[in-house]
Amino acid sequence: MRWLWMLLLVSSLAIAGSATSRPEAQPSSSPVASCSAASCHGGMDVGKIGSEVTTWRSADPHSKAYSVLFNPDSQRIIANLRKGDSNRWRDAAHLEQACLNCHSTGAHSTFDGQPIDASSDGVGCDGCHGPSEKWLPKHYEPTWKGLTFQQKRDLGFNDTKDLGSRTLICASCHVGDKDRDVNHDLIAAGHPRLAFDYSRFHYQPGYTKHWTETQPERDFEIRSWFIGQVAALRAAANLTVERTSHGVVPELTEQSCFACHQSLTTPIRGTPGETPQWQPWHVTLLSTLIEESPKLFPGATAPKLVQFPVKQLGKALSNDERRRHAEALTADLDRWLDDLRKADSSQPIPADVLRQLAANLAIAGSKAPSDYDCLAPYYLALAALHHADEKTLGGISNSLESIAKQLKYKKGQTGPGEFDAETVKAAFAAIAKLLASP
Amino acid sequence: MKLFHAPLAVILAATGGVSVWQVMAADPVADPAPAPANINPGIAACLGCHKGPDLGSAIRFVKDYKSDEFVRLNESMIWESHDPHSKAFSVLKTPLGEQMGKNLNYKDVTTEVACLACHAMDIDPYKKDKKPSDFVAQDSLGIGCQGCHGLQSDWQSKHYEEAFRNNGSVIPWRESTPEEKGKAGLKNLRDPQVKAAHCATCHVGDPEMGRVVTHAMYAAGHPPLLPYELSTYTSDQPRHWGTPFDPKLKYFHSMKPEKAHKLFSFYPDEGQAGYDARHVAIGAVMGLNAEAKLLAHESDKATPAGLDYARFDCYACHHDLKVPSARQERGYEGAPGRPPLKAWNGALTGVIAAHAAQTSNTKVAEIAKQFPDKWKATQQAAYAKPLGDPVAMKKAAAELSAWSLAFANALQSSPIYTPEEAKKLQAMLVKAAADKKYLADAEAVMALVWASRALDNQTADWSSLAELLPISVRTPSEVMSKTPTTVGDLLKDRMRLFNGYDAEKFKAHFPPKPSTKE
Repeated sequence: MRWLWMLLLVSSLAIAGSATSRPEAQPSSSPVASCSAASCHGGMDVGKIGSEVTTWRSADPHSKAYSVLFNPDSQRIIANLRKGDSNRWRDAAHLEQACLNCHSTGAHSTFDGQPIDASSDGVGCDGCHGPSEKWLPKHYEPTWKGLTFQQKRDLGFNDTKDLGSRTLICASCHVGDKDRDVNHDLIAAGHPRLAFDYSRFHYQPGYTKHWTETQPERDFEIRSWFIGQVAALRAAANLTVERTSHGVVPELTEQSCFACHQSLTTPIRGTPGETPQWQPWHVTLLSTLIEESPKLFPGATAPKLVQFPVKQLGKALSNDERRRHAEALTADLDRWLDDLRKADSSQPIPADVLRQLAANLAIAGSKAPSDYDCLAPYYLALAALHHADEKTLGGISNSLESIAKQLKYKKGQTGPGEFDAETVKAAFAAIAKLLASP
Repeated sequence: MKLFHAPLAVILAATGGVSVWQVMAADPVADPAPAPANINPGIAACLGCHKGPDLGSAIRFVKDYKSDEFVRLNESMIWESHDPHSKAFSVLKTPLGEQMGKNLNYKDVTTEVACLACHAMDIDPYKKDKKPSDFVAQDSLGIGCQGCHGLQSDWQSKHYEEAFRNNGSVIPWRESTPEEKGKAGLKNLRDPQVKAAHCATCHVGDPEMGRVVTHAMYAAGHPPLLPYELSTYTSDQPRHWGTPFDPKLKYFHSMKPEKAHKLFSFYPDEGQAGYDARHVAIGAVMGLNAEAKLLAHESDKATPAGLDYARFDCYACHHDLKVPSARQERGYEGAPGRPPLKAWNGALTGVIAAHAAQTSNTKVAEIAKQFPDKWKATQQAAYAKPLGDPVAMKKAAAELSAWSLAFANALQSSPIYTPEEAKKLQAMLVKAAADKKYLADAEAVMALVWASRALDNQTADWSSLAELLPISVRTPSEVMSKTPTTVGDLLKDRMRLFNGYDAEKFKAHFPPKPSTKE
């Protein structure tokens, strides 16, 4: 049943992987070209150590991040944006810095002392591991392993082994940051919605990771799911901070897409006043996360008032107030992530703790507002935990399937259309009941 | 012996010439709520003469004054049997009304001024800080005769009493000017501009009268306000008045143009087709005027987030998301992702102005030509920020408001709608309905179809479109049913039909083929 939680993959990924109309040219010298030496990371065993670049190239959508900028979807997005502001959007997508910031590693970095255009690599090695100019010559020296993370960081090398740092790197594009803002203008122009969920993205079909984890897979999955949630929320808070000085206000993507994007039939889904007004996709699980934090990460307690700024951000605030609350939230979440990082993750998570976590999520899901962005995160959470430990949570698969049936986008749609929120909530209640019985 | 079915007072009036009004004021079946002394909200007195030309006091007026050649005389009857205005207040007590009250945290929707402003009769519309006692709120009345014609009792007695004083001769009231009638409290609803402005105070909104349907109200359950197309609204009401071209209303036939325009606000040479075109045109322009005033007002009240969502195109946001997306394929007028203004608003007036700009009347044409710029400026103020730039919007909306008023004035003072021009306007409306500029906006298409249909004179089979989008405010069977049904009751079916709108399918069936019926 490991396929089960994949049911909900949004079509954005399908679009991201869709046909390209341009052959991929590799510059003779670029980070990717350099890394792919057969004796380093260019082996031919996809998924194995020593074949990282090959794995990335053949089984990782990041390698196509640039080439999708040539497809008809990208052309239409740019054309629509240009109609709104022809001064701001002058170039084709593959030349637009705003697009390249996420769809390539960096158009104007230097390599081997020479300025290079590595954009055609898509999101290559440097995209996640950090600009390689300084760390590249050092990382294969015997001394490299003796360096502290801070020393590596000083060389521009990102700490991808730490789950908090890693998920924040992912979130810099998949949620957004200062220079990477998929706002409502972009989405209306045709860019797929960002609905980041670390676990869902990590295990999507067609994505083979090119590394191994230090923890056992089961515990890695549970803990990375948790940290992924906190990190994504942190990225969302930070993005709100950035938008107060750079963005358009109000930013409609900070609300639930489907609070507005539903055909007006009766009844309207989502009760006014119940649905969180700021980032429901990222804040829906917050209460449960706060409660469960010390159980999964001994000693890591959520900052006391973390929910206060979340509530405030849902109100019509002045720019200054908005910034203040978003900054407070970002700082709180940074503290929390730091505590999660420091917590002892060497012990396996006991089955009853996992079971209780799943039960609590199901109970909260059964009482959630009828809004899609408030229900889907509970489904994804349970599906992620089910994926991590089928043995402990195997009994819930039928209920999960019935939820997926409601929440899954129908053919030709990029939203749930008419779905029955009550059926979804009843299925969550059934899961909660099942998990409560021994 | 039909007379015995009439209320006692009517018989008294018919036989003894006693003022109907004085007697009816004490009628024990009248609604109990007290009204100020100079106000008469009830329908009982109206029914004395307006129940039918062969009923009650009407008999005498027909005999002595040929009143049936001036008005239909069954107006109150039509209102009572078919017109949803009669349910305007009682709908507040339905489950939907209760649900809205709960969602909006209102203590009681039936005493909430924001609801009463449209759902009851407003005694002094421009009064500030109104209280529930400032309204006539009665289950049996809703928006009754006086809700539109004027609550003041002065005109109500005058408009027939003079008949008694001028036994047999011409009735001075009928031929007095709209201004004189207005002094007695009668609203000049014969003037399409006055009528359009008046209906729009509720059906679009009027902030100065406190008549504003906010997004909070919609979210709480208020049915969406439909595109304001005056002719379709009145025909589905259904219309209880005759036009001056009604074969039975001989009083107006062969009336001199000057008198027709001065006293009854119509142009004999325009004929029925021109009369209808005039109503479609002025209705749309005054609808835009009402919306422009709302935009200006809401700009003052804007929060840091912008203007109230209710001022934008509902369906720009409220649609299920699809790939491929008709909107994305078409592209946007401004930055994508920002709610535009209501598409129907610009579409209807756009066609009317484009038509008027081509006519030989230079005064009208000059004003008409300004529309694209005025609309664009307002639309740009909406696009400047995701929920509008209040500063730019205030300016642009004020200009649009002034422009629309000037345009409506120009239209109403110029007989441009000859039968040929009316036909041209209809053709332009039909063409616009299938234009790719509007095709992705179901509401714009719907408004254009309504206007096209209103001017078609029944040569096309419009019912062939009935499965594709709502072709009227109410369905014909619904209009003719004995119980007036409100839009709220129709909502589920009508929204299902509306949401199912498919631009390609519509295009394939449009324009409708000529009707085969005789």
